[in-house]
Order: sequence, then structure tokens, then C-alpha cells
Amino acid sequence: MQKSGGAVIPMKNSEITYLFGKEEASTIPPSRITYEDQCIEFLDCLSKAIRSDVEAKRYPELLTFAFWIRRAGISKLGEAYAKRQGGIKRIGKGLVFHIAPSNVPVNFAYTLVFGMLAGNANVVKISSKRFRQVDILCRLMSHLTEQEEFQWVERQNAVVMYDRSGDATDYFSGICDARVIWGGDATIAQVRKSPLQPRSTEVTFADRYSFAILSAEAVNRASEEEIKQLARRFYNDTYLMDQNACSSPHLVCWMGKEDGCETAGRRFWQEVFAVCAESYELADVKVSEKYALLCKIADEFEDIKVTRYKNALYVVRLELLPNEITELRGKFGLFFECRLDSLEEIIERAGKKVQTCAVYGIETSEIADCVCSMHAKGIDRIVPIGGTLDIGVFWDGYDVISELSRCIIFE
Amino acid sequence: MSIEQLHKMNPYCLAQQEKESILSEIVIEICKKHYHQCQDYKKIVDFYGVDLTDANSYYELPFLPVRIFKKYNLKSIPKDKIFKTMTSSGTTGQQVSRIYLDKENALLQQKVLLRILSDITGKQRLPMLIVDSPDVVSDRKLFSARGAALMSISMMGRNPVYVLNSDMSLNVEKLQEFLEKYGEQPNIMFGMTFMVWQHFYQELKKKNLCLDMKNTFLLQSGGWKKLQQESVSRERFKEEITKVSGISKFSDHYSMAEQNGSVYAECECGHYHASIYSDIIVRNFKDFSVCDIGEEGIIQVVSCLPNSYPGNSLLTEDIGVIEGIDDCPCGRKGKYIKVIGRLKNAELRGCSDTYAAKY
Repeated sequence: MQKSGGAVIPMKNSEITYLFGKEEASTIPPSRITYEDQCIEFLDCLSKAIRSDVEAKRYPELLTFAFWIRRAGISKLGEAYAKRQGGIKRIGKGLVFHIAPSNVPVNFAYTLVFGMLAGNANVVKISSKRFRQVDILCRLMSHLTEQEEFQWVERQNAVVMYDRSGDATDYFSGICDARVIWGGDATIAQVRKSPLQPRSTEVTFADRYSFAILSAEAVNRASEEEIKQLARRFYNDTYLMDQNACSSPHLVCWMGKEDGCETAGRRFWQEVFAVCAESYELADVKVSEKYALLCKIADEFEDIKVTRYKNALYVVRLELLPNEITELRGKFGLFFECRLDSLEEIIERAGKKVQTCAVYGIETSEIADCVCSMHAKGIDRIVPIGGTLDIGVFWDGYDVISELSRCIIFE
Repeated sequence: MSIEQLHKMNPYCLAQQEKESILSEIVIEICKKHYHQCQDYKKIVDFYGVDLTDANSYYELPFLPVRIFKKYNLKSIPKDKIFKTMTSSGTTGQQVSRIYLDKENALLQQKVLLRILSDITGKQRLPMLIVDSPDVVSDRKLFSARGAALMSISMMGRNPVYVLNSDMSLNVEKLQEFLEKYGEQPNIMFGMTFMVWQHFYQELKKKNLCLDMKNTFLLQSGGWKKLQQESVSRERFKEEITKVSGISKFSDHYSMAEQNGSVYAECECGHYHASIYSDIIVRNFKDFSVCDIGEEGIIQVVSCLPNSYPGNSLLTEDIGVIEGIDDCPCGRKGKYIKVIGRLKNAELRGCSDTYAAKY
């Protein structure tokens, strides 16, 4: 197992399963430049392969991924990236070791693509919990790399699975040039026990918190069709992941006068409830947990008013925002709401755990300006409602391609 | 009507309608007391929007999720009145429930448990075998629901004999000694269902022993989760036990640490009955509406026993069904139920995961 020089830790006790690629990936092949055309070509072919595969087509998240890696989209990202770099050249760091999260099946593919686009060889460790989506993607990639022109992909990239009891994490951490950790605080703490080489860097996706701001006036003004769409998009942002995604809002802030907010709230939640009734798979165990959470909230918070829309949607209205908004967490369709007089009220409470601010009826740039002018510790993403789960090369406050590549300047 | 008056009646004598009105009156009175003496309970009732002074039936009472006893120390008595702190067996999670009892409440639980079970097994105190180790009750610090159940139930018998050793192995000599002495007269054996299966039945089978326990009544309690995992149904359990021991009379009961005492005992027809001290409401998980007879849902338990802690109306994490009301061939009135099992753990979605569990 021991490969090229450096601080390599010989591996004991680890049995590694390669779902895609081979051991060769960790021999650190030469880096490529960022957004290399060969890479874009491979992704475009993979995109087509996914879209024409009968089994893959059954998973909407695979189709979303396929859409994202089309040549048209990626080239545009590449051009914008090159433009931002000015005259600076960028090349991959070398080998990137990724720890993918265990419960978002397709996430491993995004992190792999980030690593590839940045010009690296990659080893992606996925959870031992098998997902069909993972198997499908690995099958399609393996099939593509049978073609002569894509053989390099298989030599430079691997998707692996191993038992945590072994020392494979030590091994890959010891040889990689950058490490990417998904899966939250606990995983990060655990993986950090495995040291990196002195020049290696790390990108960590820690536990984050997200919220939404809606303009009461905009909601009240919206047409029937618009409000239905808004509710559907909000549903996608939250219920689709049972509110467990870092970027799913837990708190809805209403901007506007008291009366206006009252009307807007009723209108909005009623529509969200209608979408739930139609689409959400409410399970008894979810209700049990959600109801227990509601009772806990009732016991712990002062001055709250709870509206229950059957057991599909619970809305807890707060008179005042606490200083620490990240405590306001719901799940399975339990939300907090609060009225704001000004944006400042919420921005000043956005601590460094706060990630995404989803908005409706307010300019995203206005909020970005406010974050900067108030020197807020948190909020690194401001997106329209419906876009919170759209992962991209800018994520969690990182410019991921830059994090995983090195710059070469020449004067 | 008061609990004392219930003590004078047969525990299954009231038809549902009459029982509901009597039980409602008693339970709502106790809840009002909790409302004034337990701040946490007051907050939950208030958020729920129920005015206890207007409530007419226990169907209207807010139900506390059972797991709330794991998070909070809910009690309606001052600290110096705490006589016992019961902890749940904690099979479902890491945290255990804590139930605070004063002396009066502990005695009441015991009394009602004995009244209910003796209605099934008969009034006289019989020689008794216990499928457990005596250590469970001798160590007072381990005052678990299992220990508590053993303590109470052992009072139904004369000089209870524990047939397991400290290492949970079966003490066959002790068992045979007991049977030589009492085997020809009615006697009772009690144990947690899973322990009876593992430490009594499987041991006898392994040792190839067949006993003659035709006069023994097997009383059991505790969940069926582990046996369900091994695909052992109630029917098969009975068949197998009969094969190795000759036992033919059985009674299981559904109970929980959060409402100790008012158990749901199985009659000779295999139905689990609600006594006059308590009731079960099955609720539809979608909106908590009350399910019809035969319709599965989440079990809510209502009991008039909890007096020192606000546990009179609880939403369990069990799925069950009302099988019938007032019409069991055994003659016992009120509802009879079937417990189907626990809520299933849903697959969690999302991007932050617990390292320990899944990495």
C-alpha cells in the first residue's frame, strides 16, 4: 500500500473497497490545469450517459447532477473563473482526499467533480451505507472509462469504502495535498485526528444553520399562481430533506408592518400546507419526533404562539428573536417565524454558524450589502427561496475550485 | 367519584361509556393539580390551548410525548417528598426516563397492579417462581422498571423463588425443587418475556429437559421487540413454552414505566384489556384524530394513577389498535387492544451525520 515518498503511514487493518477506480489514484499523478477541456468533455459524456440510462433517470437528484455537469454549464463556470483570475494560472494541488457525507447519496459525485475541475486526482471515501444512486453513478463512470480517451479518469480518481476501524483515513490524510470533509462537526473532529502533511490544506463543511426572509408586501401582492410556486419552492428547500440539510431554512422572518405580516403569514403557510398535503410523505415516527420537539419548544420558550396545520406543518411564532438564532431548529416541517422591522435585526444575530439566507421579495444584493456593512460573522449565501439546496462551486463561504488548486504567478 | 371508590369495584366492571365519564372526572381533577404544581406541565397545557376547567373528557386532555420524561424532570411534588425515582429500562435509546414518585403514588401503583393481575390469575396468593436473578431487586440503586415490576408482582406470591443465577444461567435444581414442592397445586411463574424465552425456554431446550408445569400460570411483561426480531409471535411463544414445560395458562401485559401500575393485561382470550383505572386512545398520526375500532394508529395512554408527576395522558411511541369495546367473550368490560409494535425508525435525510453511528 505504501506509495510515493513523504510522510506516508503504512496501512494496516484496512480493507478498502474500490467502487470506482483503482489504487493507482493515490500515486499522485501530475496535476492538471483548472477547468481542463478533457475533464469538461468527460463530464459532458457522463451527463449524457446519466440522462439516457433507464435506471438513473428514476432518481431526480441524478438528473439534477447530470444537468449541472453539462458542457454548457461547466464551460460557463470555467470562463467566469478564468476571468476572475486575471493573468494568474491555476493548477490542481495534486491529490485530494474527500470524506463524503453518509446521508446525501449524490453528494460524493459533486465533491469529486469539484476536485476534478480544480485539476486534481481524487480519492472519495463514501459511507458504508450503500445507496443505489452511488452504484449507478459508479457503473456509468466505469463504463465511460473503458473508452481510450477517458482512461485517465479511472487512473486518477477513486471512490472507496472502508471500515472505520482501520487506519485508511490516516493513510489517505498522510499522502493527500488537500482534504475535504463533509458530514458536520462530529465527523470533522474525528477525521482531524489524522494528520496532514505540512503544506496540505483542508476544506471543512461543518454544521451550519439557514433561514429565510420574506417581504410581507410581496407575498400579499403575489398572484395565486406566484404564491403556489413560492410554496412549492419553499417545500423543496425544506421538506425534501426533512429540514436536515445545512442550507434548509428553520426560521422565516417577515419584513413588514404587523397587519401585513399577519395576512402574508396566513396566506403563505396555508399554501405550504397544501403542498405538504399533496406531496409530503408524513410517517408516524416523524410526527412523534416533531410533536415531542414542539412540546419541548413550548416548555422552553416564552411568548410563543403555535399554529398547527394538522401534523404536516407546525409554525411557532416568536415575539422576539433570541440572540442566538441557531437554536431555532425544526424538523419534519416545524418552523419558527418572527416579524422584523429592519434587516439589521436579523443580520446582527447571524453568527458564524449561519450559512444560507433564502429570500423572497427582497433584493439579494441588499442583504449582501447589509452583511458586509454590518461586518456580520455569518451568512455566506443569499439565494431566492427554492435555491437553497443547489450546490455549486461556491459553497459554505468557500470558492472551492480555488481552495483545491494552487496559483502560479509570473511577473 | 374518587380512586378510593374505584378500589371497591371489580377492575373491569364498567362499560366504556360509564367508565369514560367516571375516569374523566378523576383524571381531569388530578391534571388540574399538576397544572398548579408543575411549571413545565402548565406551559405545555397552555400552548396546547386547553382550559382544564372546561374539559369534560380525558379525550380533550393534552398528551405529553413519553420521551419528555427523558429530557425533563417533571414532577408535581417538592423534592423532599420524593420516595422513589423510577427509571425506564431504556431499551429504545441511551437516555432513560425518570419518574418521581412519592410514597402514596408508589403504593397506589402497586395496589392497582395487584388488583388487575389477580383478576386474571385468581385472588389467592400462590407459590411463585420468578425468572430473574435476585440481584435485580436487592440492588436498590438499580431501581429500574423491571426491578419495580418484579417487586410488585412478587407480592402476589408466597415466598417467591428466583430461578436465575447472577450470571443469568438457569438454576435447574432450584426449579425442580420448587416443582416437587408445589407442582401439584396452582402456582405462578413471572418473568420478562424476553428473559423467559432466552433464559428459561432456550435453556431447557438446550439441556433437553421437559418439565411438568401443568399447574403453572405464566405471567409476563416487557416488550416483544427482541422476539419479533427473531420472528417469534405470541402464538409461537405459547406453543413452544407448552412443549418444553407443559405450561398452558398465559398472561402478558402491556405497560410502561411512565404509567406503572395501570397495566393492560391479557385475558384468556388473548385480548389486552384496559381496566377502570386507565384507558387507551388510538390516534391517527396524520392529525391525531381518534381512530375507529380496527384502525391502526399511535397509542395514547390515559391513567388516573400518576399523582406525583404529570403523566396522566401520554402519547407513546407504540402502534396499536382497538380490537373491541365491552364485548370480549371473557366478560371484561371496556376496551381491549392489540399492541403492534414500536414506531419504525425513519431514515434520516440531510447532510450532517452522527459520526459514531454512520461513518
